[in-house]
Amino acid sequence: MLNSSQMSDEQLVEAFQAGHVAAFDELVSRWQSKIRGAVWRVLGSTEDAADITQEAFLRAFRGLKAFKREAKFSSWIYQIALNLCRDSLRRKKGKSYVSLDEPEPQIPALASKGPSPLELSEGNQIAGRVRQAIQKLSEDQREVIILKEYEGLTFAEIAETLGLPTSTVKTRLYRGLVEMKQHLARDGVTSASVIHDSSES
Amino acid sequence: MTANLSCEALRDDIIALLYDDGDAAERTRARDHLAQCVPCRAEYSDLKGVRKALVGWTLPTPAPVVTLVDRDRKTNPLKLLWGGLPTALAAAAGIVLGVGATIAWRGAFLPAAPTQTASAVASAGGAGRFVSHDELQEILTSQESRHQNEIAELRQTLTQVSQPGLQTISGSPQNVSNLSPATLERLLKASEERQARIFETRLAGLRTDNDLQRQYDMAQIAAGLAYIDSRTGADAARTSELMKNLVRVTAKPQDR
Repeated sequence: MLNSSQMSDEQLVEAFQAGHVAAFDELVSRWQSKIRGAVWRVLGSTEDAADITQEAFLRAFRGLKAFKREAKFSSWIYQIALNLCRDSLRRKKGKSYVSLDEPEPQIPALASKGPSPLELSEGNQIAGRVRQAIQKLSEDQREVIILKEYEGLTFAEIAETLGLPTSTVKTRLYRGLVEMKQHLARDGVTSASVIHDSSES
Repeated sequence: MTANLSCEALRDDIIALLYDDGDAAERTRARDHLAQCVPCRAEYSDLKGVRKALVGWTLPTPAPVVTLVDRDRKTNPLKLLWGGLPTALAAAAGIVLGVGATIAWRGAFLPAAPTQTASAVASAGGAGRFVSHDELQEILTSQESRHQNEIAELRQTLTQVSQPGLQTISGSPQNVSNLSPATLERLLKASEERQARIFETRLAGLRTDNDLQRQYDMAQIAAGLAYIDSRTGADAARTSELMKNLVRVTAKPQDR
């Protein structure tokens, strides 16, 4: 008999549906930090990320008996979490969801003369600008970029998670990246500066 | 224009190449296009730069969602999801069962009366040492027989005391009912005389003490008067008059 840690997600789901409730432990163990990370990037709050992750797994626990194994468990749990994120953002609509978890970097005023690439050479400054730029994206683009860049999902998995055609995923990804480039350029981060910085480091 | 349309149609392929995902055919098409399209090549380079920038946005130090971690396992996510409530209930039930079991166990070996139990345990030669049921029975039996012996001795002594004619003044046992009335009267008279002597002696002592105290007081007053005599005028005369009055008041009635 296989140890639960050696079982695939599908096998664990099957075991759970057969009455082995403990199989859910392993699923949570495998996916909770990734889900929490994704939620944190979408919402920008550690506290909200913890709450929504917990809620997502609770919903998964309740719904797993009826889960049709046509989709992957990971896609399904991401889908639940992202739906919860959307609900949360809708509730907070009109309010800024920029987190206080990380202090905002002191951004120089956008004057005709912006900061030079050298001034932005430190990684944390670029990270702050990236975070701001991502938060300026539409929800659709942000989700796709987060799932691709940070969660490492394939186009097909993202498509499954979001219930979209793969081509739509690629299009959103492309548009999101182009928009990111524009936001970053406005904040003084150009591709040249990033490449320069990363090559130096 | 044709080139632009072609570029737009190949965006998905360029994204596939950028992420090294999707069909191999898509990536090949993208490579071929980039080899001959300078604007797309520049954009591709920019998108690579954006991706590099995205890498810099790392997660904060993870504040663990799971605060209840079972150290025996790497994590116990169910504890996260249900806040450890069943664990707490299980722990409470365990404590109740444990206490119950302890009481039952103690009850089986230590009979009800706590003082008997304590003394039995103490007399068994070890504070806090539990004794077996048989040992305890043996100890209690010996203790009971000892108490019964003591009670019997006390009863015997009480019977002896309740018998008539034991105490006299001298303390030696005599039968008082056997004495004649003359002897009794003599004894009573002697007793009265003895008591009268004791009383007189005590009274004389008291008188002596009183006289001595009065003499001492008078000596004090005389010393005071001698001091006052050294002073002059009406003040001294008045003081003297007061002292005379004082002496008069403090004098014995027969001396007034």
